[in-house]
Amino acid sequence: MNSLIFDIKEFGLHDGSGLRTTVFFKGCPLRCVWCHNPEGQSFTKEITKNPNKCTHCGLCEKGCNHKECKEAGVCLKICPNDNVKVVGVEYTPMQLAEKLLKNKAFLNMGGVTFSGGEPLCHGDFILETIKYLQNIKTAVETCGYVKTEDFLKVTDKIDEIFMDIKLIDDDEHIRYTGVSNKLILENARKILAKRFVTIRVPLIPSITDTDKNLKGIAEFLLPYKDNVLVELIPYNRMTGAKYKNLGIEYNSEFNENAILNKNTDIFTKKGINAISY
Amino acid sequence: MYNTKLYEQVLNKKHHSFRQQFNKEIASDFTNPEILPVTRMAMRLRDVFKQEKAVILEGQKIVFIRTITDVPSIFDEEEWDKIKSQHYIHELGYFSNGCPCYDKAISIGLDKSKEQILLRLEQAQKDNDVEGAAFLQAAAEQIDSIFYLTDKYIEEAKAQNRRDVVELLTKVPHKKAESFIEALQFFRILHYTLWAEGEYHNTVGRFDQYMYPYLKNDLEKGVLTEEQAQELLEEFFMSFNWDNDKYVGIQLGDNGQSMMLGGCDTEGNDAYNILSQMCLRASCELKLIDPKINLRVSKDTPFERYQEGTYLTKAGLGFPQYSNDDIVIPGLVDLGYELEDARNYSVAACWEFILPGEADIVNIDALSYPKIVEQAMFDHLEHSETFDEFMGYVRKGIFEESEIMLKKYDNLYFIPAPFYSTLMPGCVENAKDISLGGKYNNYGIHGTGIATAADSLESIRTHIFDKKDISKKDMLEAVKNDFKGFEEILHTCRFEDAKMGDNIDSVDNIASTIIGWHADSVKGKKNQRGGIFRTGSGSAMYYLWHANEINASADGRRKGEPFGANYSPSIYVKSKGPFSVIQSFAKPPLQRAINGGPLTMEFHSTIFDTDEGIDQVAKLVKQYIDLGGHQLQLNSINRQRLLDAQKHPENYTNLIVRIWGWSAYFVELDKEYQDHLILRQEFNE
Repeated sequence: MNSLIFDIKEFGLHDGSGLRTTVFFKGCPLRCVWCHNPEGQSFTKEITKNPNKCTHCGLCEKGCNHKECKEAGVCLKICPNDNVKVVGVEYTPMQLAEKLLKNKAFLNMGGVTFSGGEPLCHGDFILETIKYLQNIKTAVETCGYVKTEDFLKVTDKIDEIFMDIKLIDDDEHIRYTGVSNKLILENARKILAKRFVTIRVPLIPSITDTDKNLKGIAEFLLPYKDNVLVELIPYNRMTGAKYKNLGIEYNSEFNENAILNKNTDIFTKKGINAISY
Repeated sequence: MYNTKLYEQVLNKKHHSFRQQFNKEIASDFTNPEILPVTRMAMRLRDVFKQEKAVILEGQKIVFIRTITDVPSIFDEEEWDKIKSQHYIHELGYFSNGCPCYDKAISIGLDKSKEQILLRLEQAQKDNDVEGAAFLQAAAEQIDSIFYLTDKYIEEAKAQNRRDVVELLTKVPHKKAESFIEALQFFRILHYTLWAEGEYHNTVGRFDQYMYPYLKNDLEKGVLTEEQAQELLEEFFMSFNWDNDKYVGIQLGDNGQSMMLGGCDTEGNDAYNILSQMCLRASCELKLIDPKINLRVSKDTPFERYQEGTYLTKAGLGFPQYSNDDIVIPGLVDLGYELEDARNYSVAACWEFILPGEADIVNIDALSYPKIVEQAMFDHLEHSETFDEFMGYVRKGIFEESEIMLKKYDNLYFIPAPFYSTLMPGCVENAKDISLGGKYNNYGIHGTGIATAADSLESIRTHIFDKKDISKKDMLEAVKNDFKGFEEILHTCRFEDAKMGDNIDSVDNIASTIIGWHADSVKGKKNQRGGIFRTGSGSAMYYLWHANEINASADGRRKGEPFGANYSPSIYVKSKGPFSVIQSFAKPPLQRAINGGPLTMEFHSTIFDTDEGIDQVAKLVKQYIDLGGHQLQLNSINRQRLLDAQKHPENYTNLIVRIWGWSAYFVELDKEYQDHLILRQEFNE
């Protein structure tokens, strides 16, 4: 059993409690127009090349005999600025666990967070990894778009849950993320009914940060108010630059610099705990 | 709350308008070569204090500000050249980087100190000890000069109708201090005089230990509330900043006004107290570069103390610097220091562990590890059959270089320091100036570029001896030609190989070996003053200087790129993160690198914005200490550094910045990201 991982970051600060290492899985069923981790969308390896750092020396295009470069169509082992890279490294659960356990002394004061991409698309891999993690605490950051059975099976083994609810209106959800929110909301109901979840709403100007959307989400969460903390996460204005490295055009369709509506009151007035960053 | 008016003066430097030039015309003949240098030191201080003006600022409770800062040498050029030709001169020639026992004077008063000197002088005269007598005479005169200047301040206080100052200075420094304010004022006068006498990098030592009895007494008797004491302490902290623009080492701020807090007493009991806490708070509130705060910790240190320390780190000053008693004390004992002395360790200007009252010269020289590796490569790589054989040449190189270095410091000469000596145990008793040595006379040798050396050796082992995918000839050519035409070797060594900081045993173990060999190479060797040599992991400015002395290196470091500062990953290495760096750097036998030199890590200031962030950084620090790290320095990065990072990204590879919910390496960000961060920071300021 293998999974592609595009980054492993030590000392993640907003990825759960205590000292954490965050594992970013590659591949996501959603295509949010504001996605700030575009390298996490595709389930296959990709090549990144930052055009701003490229000196056009031509070394990477001269052709080489490295077997790892064959598929890439470019030499990955010569750029003097290390600017030509593969995104995505294959791991087995055992390999990932071994790597994480090297920092056990730190992670005992916090834990491991599975993020992405969509980590729950790698549910079995995560379950297998946890077996090797020697009781280190875990967390997951999920969009919730996975089969309910799988969603519950995996989250059941995880200590802290961070789940996104981006848009409450299904048409809008389809328009801006590419998929319906029905499954997501169903999973949210199921999990909120039995345990505490941090619900994150990315605040995207005029798309998700409208009072209407926030009110709708608050309404949805009301029956579970004792089991939820809402975090309103401001849009990352630097999102665009990452796309260039993958050779993708980024079209935000909205005013990136608009002032965000960090209206936590909508939630707190209903007795739902909410914070914004 | 501190006196804000005074604080503004510290920042706006209006008091500089009182500064005046030293007038040689009206000075004594202190450059006369016929007169003993120690006597001339006394003549010169008297001249300086005669010309000093008493300056008392409005509301200032702890007085003494320097107005004469351009004190000329007691030697003319000819005489100094002659001395230099006959002696090894350490830096500027003055006794420096020491830790005086201020309490020696504060606890008895200078009247008493002078009495003891005069008594010993009688004996020296009887014994016909001409040099001893001259030293004691000079020491007594220095004290008289202090009294002379104190009287001037009393006159000025009277003129300003400042009865509190008149009362204070009528008592100290003549009599022993009995209250907190008296002790602080006494210290100020002593410290002021050391700088005026000519010594530099005059450290503050274990301030929370020797000052605590005075504070405790005042708090118990109700003389001061804690709040009043805090205010006084903060004014006292400001006093280190009145004159520090004139105390410039390699760079402004390199002035050695370091203070050590916490740690244990001579019996080994935890000695952290309310004053230690108040000092952390004072530094946090004032955000001034002096005094530079150090904090002694150990595996038994409660977590709250790390949190208190981290609140100070948040202030963005780069303090506190932590040192680990569990490593440093046994390390010092291994070097031959007595246990009680070792337990009393403090810190020199930067990171070198020193004992109050001792004559160690902790920064006498530095060994460049990458240069040793380069030499071994050029001379022996081609005929080495195994990696072990090659490492044998590295070992030989270290031993040979040490052998040559250790002879360089014979006939060491320091300019006499008669007043400084009165604060050093044994000097008056033995009628011997501290410039001639003390109980311990050990010399410290820094070790620079440990990560560059270990990474280079790791690449050599991996490609020349294990995988054999790079030929010896190609590696040598690549390094000599700064990788021109060898771009693939550059990429492999620079970006693909294991690095110190990645928490990979093979390379970390090489670092351990080098650190051990350096210590072995000086073991059992004595210097001419009877002391031993101690090796460390500090770099001082040598991380630039030594880097310029060599070619490119086998780790993929290009020619001209500096080494990591102190005990840190190579600067162009993008480490996996703080967990890996801490584990890598805790592995080597640091008890054997006890001349000191901290692991240095940088964090973006926004990490410290929440209590959660503070907690997490505090946990990292605790982990480094618990894993056996010897010393640690953290930086909360500010805007100035970010701007500098744009100009010199190669120096900031490991600078971590917090963007929003994710962290990134600053130099990995596109300029638009960087500009944005800088812009945001400006908003915050």
